[in-house]
Amino acid sequence: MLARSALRSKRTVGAVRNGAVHTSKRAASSSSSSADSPFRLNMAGTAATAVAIGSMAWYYHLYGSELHAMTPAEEGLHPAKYPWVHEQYLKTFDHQALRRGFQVYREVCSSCHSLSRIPYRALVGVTHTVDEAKAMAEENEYDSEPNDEGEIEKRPGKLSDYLPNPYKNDEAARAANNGALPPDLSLMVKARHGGCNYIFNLLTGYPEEAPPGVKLADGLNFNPYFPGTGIAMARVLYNELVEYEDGTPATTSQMAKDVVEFLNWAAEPEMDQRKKMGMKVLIIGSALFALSIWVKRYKWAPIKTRKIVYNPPIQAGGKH
Amino acid sequence: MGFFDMLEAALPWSTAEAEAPKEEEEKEEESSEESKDEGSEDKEEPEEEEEEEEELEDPKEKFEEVTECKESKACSPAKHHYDECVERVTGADHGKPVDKKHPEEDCVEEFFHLAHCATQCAAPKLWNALK
Amino acid sequence: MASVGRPLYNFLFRRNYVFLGVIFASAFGFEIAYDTVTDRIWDNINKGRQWKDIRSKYIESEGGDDDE
Repeated sequence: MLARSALRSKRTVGAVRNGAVHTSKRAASSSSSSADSPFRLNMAGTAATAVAIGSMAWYYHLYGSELHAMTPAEEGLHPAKYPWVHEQYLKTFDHQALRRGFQVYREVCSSCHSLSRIPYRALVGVTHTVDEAKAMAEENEYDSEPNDEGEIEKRPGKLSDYLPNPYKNDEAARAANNGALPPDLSLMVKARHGGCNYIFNLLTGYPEEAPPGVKLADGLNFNPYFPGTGIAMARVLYNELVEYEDGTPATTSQMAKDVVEFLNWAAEPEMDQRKKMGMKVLIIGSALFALSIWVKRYKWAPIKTRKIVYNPPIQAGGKH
Repeated sequence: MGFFDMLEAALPWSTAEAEAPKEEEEKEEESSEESKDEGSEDKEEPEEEEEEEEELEDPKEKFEEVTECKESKACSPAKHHYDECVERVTGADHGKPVDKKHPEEDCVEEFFHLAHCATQCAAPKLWNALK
Repeated sequence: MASVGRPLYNFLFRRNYVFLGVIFASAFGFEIAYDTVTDRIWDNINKGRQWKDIRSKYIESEGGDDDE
């Protein structure tokens, strides 16, 4: 299609140009009125330009417009960027926020979402003291080793136990949630495009009512940030849903912010250490780099500034 | 600090303790250095408590809806389009001529543009308000 | 330059075990010093954000009921 249209336009332009050449030749050779030829030239030029612009416009019209595989609704609203402090290069997690976030997870999210990669021992020295973590672990029951009769008894949790799952398995989770599986949140910040911003926006972005004309399947809720806008999870965070022990007002966005930071910690528990080590490495690395440049210049300075002088030996016998 | 801890642990007369209760006491003493940080946190708290006395209001909603953002100049085109769309789509139910070209129209796209504008505008304000 | 270099040579480079020993010792010493300094800078950048900054709040009420 492109080739054909291009060819055609070329031919037309060529014809016009030929005509122009002919007329100008004729004008030059014959002594007819000179006012006639510039007019024709102008006409030819205008026509050629019109054809060129027209063909370009036609081509753009055919192939130039952007194509989207999905409608904006299917794509989901891109999350707004928030200035997370813990995402700065030299900032650790705010551990007070992590502690609040864990509280939100524990009191709200954990009724549907597992956090299966986090053991209680991971919380020690991050959000809780040893004794607090032990106390929390002991609230749950876990399978113990088989006893003398081969029966598996329950025992209270230990620090090395992982946070308990709300459901026995994925099928049970689906059955309890209208067919939708609440995903495990351990790596959720890493697993979703947009990371922290996405989760924060998702949690706080439920509008009062869906925009008019939206049709959702049964049991789904409208959330602009969720791809497809129909999400099985209803809005869960409301003001004063939890009571923070440090007195922070538990607004919806405060809880969302804290729990997102906590989930980011769950996905990247090594972040604090990693950034600290990164800073140390960069300082040493840049010092060594500067040193290496200095050494290079030091070594090359005499070579780069040398002057080679060639004095031809004076021949004993004069000229040949 | 880390090195001396290691050194101490390696010395023959030192005792190993599983949960390091001794260290805890030491750190408590250190906390006097950190009193500055706690002070700054205390400064923030009273402001927030003032808000708490009223009906607790979500700052995100406040910035996006109640105060400027959704009504701001930057978002006015988006708001205008959304309102127009709402009128067009809901108008069909109220006996107005139905848009035959797009009978299934919804306002998701317009809503997206408005929501994007409002959240983006409120984002820095919200982060200043949150702890 | 030679007057400065001579004692340095006599002390440091003449015997290889001294030279190597100084290198090892200074590497060790440098790491301790560097870690101490950067840790302090780091703690200063992240004042009030790390666990050790908020730890005292929860240690005081140890065994208490600050976490239901």
